[in-house]
Amino acid sequence: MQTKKNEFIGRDHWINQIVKVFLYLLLVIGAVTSVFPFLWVIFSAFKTSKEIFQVPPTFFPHQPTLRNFYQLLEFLPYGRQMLNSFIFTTSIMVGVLFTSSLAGYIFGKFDFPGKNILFLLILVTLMIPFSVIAVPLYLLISFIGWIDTYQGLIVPSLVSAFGIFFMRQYIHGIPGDYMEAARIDGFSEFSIYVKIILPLIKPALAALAILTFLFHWGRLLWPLLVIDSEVMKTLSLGIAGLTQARAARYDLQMVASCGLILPVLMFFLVTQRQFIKSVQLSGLKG
Amino acid sequence: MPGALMKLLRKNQKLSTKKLNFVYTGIISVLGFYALFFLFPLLYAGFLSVTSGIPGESLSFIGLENYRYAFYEDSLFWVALKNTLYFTALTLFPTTVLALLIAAGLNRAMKSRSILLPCYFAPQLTALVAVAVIFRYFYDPTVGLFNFILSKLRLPQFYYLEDAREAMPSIVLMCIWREVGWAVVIFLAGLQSIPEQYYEAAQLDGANRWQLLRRITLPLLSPIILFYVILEMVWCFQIFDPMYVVTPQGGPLHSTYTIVFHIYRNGFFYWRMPYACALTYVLFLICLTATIIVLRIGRTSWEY
Repeated sequence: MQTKKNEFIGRDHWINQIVKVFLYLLLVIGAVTSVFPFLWVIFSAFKTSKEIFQVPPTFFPHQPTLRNFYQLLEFLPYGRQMLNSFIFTTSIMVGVLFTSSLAGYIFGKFDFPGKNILFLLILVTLMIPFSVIAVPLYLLISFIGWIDTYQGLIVPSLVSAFGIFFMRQYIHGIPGDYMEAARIDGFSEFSIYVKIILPLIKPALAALAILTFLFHWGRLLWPLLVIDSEVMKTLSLGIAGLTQARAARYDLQMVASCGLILPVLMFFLVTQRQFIKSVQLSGLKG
Repeated sequence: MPGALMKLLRKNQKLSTKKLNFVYTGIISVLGFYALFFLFPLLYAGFLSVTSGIPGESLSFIGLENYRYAFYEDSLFWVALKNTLYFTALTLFPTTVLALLIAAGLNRAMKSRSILLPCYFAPQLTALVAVAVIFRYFYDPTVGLFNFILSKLRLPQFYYLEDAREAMPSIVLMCIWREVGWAVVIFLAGLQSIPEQYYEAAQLDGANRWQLLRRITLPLLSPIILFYVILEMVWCFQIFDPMYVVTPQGGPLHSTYTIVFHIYRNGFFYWRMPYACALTYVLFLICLTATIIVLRIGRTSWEY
């Protein structure tokens, strides 16, 4: 009796094969669905305005044109906004890497009074939604006179509680022998940090860099509050403005979105494994 | 000689001035910076929330009036709250279930995983703004792709973002599309960390598929699922970008009007900043309470 049952559910039974293929097909369909909108946007960027609005819609452009790019530049200082996004995101990334690794190193490898309380405090702030500090932060930045400037956008985000936490966990697991040896050799503490610790934590730095970049590249709320002028807007803000003012100009919106998506997409294609590993390592939300 | 030197150094470890200098400079600069741009605003928001008027000009202390107003008189507040909860529930459950299924599938499909997994994760790379823009086109009732496909299939068409009942589900669908990837990545890592031996041992003992799932996979995966649910839930509570991009006026009959949108409107459109601050504290309280509740539920139901 038992063997008969197993034979039916056994690996080679043809029903199992069909089910397997079917499930696999579902997985592939899911993957295609995930990627499809990207392909659509990229192709649409090259379609003529008429083609974008026509019914039935086309997938591949029938008359590929670059006119959308030119038209976009008439509406937005697009190049400048892309530059803004790059400056904004990379500056924050570098800043966060530096502050997080420094603080993480100190919390992870040193003992001093109040260390545990301070660290706990930092952890607690992770729970607080950004909106809570959005208003007062705006008032503070306004008070300093940094509205509509790069500094106003960048400086408040330079220290990340998550970054400190992440780095501290990683550095804590590193054996302290290298540091001790360097100390005996007479190195200054800061040079120990630069020459020994930093090279040792490269994987964690890479992961944090990727996540920080991703998070700030598409950020909307904070730039929305701080930036007023078209010229200083970040890319995501510029695109949002496009949907508000020109409600149905899908052609422009498609092209604009490409600029937002493509740099990250290409970077992703090149560094896939590291990317996904970083996300798994940290669990940080995009 | 070297031995004695070492001993001396080790004894004075905690008191070395070089170290202390480094530690304190580092801590004070980094944390001081953080305090200025995070802790100070946090406290200032609390202070503002019990006042009324314009910060810097005419501010008057009014106690908990803002909070009372929010709960008892501001009907839009309740609308925002309801919409946000609706959005969270509608997004969280399908995403979790879908991601679990996909992760389970990918766990088996070893050969094609290297192509499929990046595909699923790709939506996470797009800024939410870009996603909203693209889907806005898809959702256009006249020229959009979705209605076109539906018409070809002889199925009824929708108004999506222009209909009060369809607007929020449309945004939800967009967010599910985007969020599944992240969950898949995390769940897959979790699934792969379960040692093969557990399954083998159980199978030797005669366990069938269903028991394997219930007794091994789910309990071992539950911390990760809990972790994900909490983070995603808090993310959902703060959802703003798609609504702002796609339905800047709050949607048909305020159907896509969420809490952060309400905060933004009050603070930066009507410039009622103290009131907005009070609202943000309420949001914070909601997130905290929900997290604690979910943690409690999670801990008790998966003891093993």
